[in-house]
Amino acid sequence: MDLLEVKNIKKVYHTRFGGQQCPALSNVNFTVEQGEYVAIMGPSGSGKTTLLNILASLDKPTSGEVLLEGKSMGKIKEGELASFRRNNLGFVFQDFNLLDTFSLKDNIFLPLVLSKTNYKEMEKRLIPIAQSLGIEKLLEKYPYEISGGQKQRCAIARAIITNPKLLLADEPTGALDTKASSNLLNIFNSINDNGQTILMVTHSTQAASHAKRVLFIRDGEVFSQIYRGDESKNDFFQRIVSNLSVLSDGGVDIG
Amino acid sequence: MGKNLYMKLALTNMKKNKDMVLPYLIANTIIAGMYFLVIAMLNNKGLKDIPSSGSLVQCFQISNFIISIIAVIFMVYVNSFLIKKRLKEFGLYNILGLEKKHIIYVMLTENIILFGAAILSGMLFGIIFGKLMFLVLLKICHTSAETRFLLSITPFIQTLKLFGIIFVFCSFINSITILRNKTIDLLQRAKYGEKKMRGLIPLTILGLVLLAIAYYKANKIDNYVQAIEVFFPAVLMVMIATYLLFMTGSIVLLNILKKNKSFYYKSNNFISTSSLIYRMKQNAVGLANICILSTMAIVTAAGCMSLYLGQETIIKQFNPFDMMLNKQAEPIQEAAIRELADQYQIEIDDYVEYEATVGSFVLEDNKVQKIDQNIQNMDFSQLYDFVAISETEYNKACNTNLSLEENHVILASLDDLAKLREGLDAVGKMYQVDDIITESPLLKCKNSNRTNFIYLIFSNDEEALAFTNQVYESRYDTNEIKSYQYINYQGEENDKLLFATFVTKLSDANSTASSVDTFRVKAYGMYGGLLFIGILFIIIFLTITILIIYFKQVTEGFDDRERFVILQKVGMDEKMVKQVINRQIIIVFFIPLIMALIHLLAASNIIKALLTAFYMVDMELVLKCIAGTSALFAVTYVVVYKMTAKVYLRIVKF
Repeated sequence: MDLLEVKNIKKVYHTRFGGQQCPALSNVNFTVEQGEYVAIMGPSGSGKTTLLNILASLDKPTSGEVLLEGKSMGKIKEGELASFRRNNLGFVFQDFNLLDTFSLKDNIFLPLVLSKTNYKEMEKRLIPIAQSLGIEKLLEKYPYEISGGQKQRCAIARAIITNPKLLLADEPTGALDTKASSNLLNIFNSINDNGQTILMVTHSTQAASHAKRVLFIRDGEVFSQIYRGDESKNDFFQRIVSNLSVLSDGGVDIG
Repeated sequence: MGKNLYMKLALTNMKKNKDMVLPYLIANTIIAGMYFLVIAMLNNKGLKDIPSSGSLVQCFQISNFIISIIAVIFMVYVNSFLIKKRLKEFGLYNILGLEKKHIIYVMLTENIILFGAAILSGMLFGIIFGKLMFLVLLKICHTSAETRFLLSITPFIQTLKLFGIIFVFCSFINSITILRNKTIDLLQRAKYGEKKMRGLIPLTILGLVLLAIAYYKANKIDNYVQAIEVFFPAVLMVMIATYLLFMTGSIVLLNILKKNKSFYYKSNNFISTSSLIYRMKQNAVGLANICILSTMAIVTAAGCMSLYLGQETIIKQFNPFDMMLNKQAEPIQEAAIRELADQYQIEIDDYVEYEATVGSFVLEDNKVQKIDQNIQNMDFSQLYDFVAISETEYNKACNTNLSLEENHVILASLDDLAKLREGLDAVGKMYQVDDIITESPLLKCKNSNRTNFIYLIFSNDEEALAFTNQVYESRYDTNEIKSYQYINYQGEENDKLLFATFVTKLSDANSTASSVDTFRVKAYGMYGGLLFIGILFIIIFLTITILIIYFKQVTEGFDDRERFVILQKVGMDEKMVKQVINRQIIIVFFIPLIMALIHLLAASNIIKALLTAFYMVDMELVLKCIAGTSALFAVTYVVVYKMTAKVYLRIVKF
């Protein structure tokens, strides 16, 4: 069964006084299987962020529906959305979104504390994750004391400590240097190898080449998609680049 | 760069920052207006028509002085607070191509507009409310409203001067701040991490110890001499302790809570605790300021209010009889007084006249001792005023038939003197005590009872004088037999005052005369003036407190917004966010108030003792005034809370 099903999603924004309509997504269809690692690429204004917000249940589509394990997100009550998000989805953001008021450990615990998990259980879950991400020595530090790469690893720990069904990443390498980026992407690969489903929105061909499948979005629709199969990372990288050049035909700016 | 551009930039900035600029402007206007008012009162020619304008002028001079100081401190403080918040904005201008000197021009233009508006509207406020306030003043001083409020040029000049100086000073500080920061710093200044704090626990303990000592000292004293001695050190200690406890104690407490894992890792406590730690590190000083200002406001207002409301008791305490005259030689003829009374339709109820010597001594067990001028901590309950009088004079005055032998004495007093029954030891000389009288018209007087007061009745004048010489040494002159006249009378208010004034005029350099009616007129001026100051101060303190709270909430709102957005993204629902926000505001908001009320509770003893220096003995009234002003203050505080919470929620809302 598909983990995530996106059916005929349409999103139209209205200008403030309802006059003009501005379509962000016109008709998006795709599915994500359990254990997949999907990257979504597209030029600025193609609707990537809108799509991710809808998948994250932070925004609602104008029409169409999103199914997670066959259950429609649109039918979840407003009051239960937050706990749905907490229990099923993990988020990694471009700007980390760590809270300066918490130590890293408490930042990672945050979603668990909100779900009223007891302390022993939280500790038990934290140890292996912290070790695999290489942040076990940083746990008592505060976000303003560490580097961007370390922050992002901490954010990943926060996202996966709840054992989410789907990990959503929005430009996770956007604020990182090359070394930290490749480090992060390797981490994504290794957690994917452990069975974690990942959906990542990115500008970076480098980042996308780590995924198993890349979806290209243009003008609010899925324009094309390519699978990596058994290809090497470099070959896949080349294929993504050539696809992007097709995508940019007509002068659309990628990047 | 045209002048117009600076003006345009300054105006847009102010419009954009109106959440900050407007309250600042209002607070400055109120302070300028208050200052203007006090100066206007001080220089008002109509003030002279109020009887006892002397004490009023004094009151206004004191408040003038204090308001000037407060105005300077407060405005410089808020100014530096505001300029820090805007460094990022200035950095952006710098990047966009404005040189620092241009930024300074813009800042100066803004300041000129702000101060100009504040001074002008303050003056306008002063002119409009001056007359009203003067009428209020007349009313609380019980003076008929025949005098006029005349505005002179002085208040205008003085206000311009003071606020001109503050303006120059603030602009100078701002220019230095802008010049000293590099562009990149200007941009990044707004984001800074927390500093690691050292010595938290020792400092917390120090704060607690200081607070305990101050509280203990304030509650151990029982008279005003001790109170005056203890008051300022205690205030200083409480202030230091408040700062320490807010800055370190709060964090120590929160850290203890944080260490308690089963408490800390609960969804509500988790977020509140950690954000309070963060908040306290940045705002402890501000909260401590609020706490101290609140305490000051309540203490001043409660003190002034109890003096005003209790003035009748005070007046009566000072004047047991309606009129008291004493003269070194011949008394004023009774006939002359009665003649004056007839002239003003005054009916004389009681007339007592005697000759005696007076003084005061310390009474320990049955030993009468001289007052030791050097002793600092005198036990005031042992201090007695006495009158040494001969049996003839006492019998004449009180219609009694007392008869005594040499070395014998009869005591008349309302105090418990049972221990003297066995005999009185007057610095070594023993007297046999024949009787202790507790009923005497010289003790239970029309207006108040005389306590810690003893009449000693001897067989003759010589013995009385000898006793006085034995136990009392006046600093100013030798002990002599003088004549005393006590009169109670009744009549129309105005007639009484005229009568009292004219009798008083009969006295000369060798005599003193006082009357409850002339005294009351003076007291009205003094206590009215004090009440006026009290009201003025509570308005100023409240204005400042409110403004500080408001600024804190608004600026924190912008900080917190980011955090709450993140929390929502991570999976917190709106209801939870609202709960957390409310809890946080309530704690941050009400801690200073609660602390202030605790200070006040601890201080009530010392306030009572200090007020006895003004002969304020109605302790119940004092407590009522403290409770009343605290309640009033708390209500205002809650209203402000509601208002700022609204602004805060509007900012934080997503």
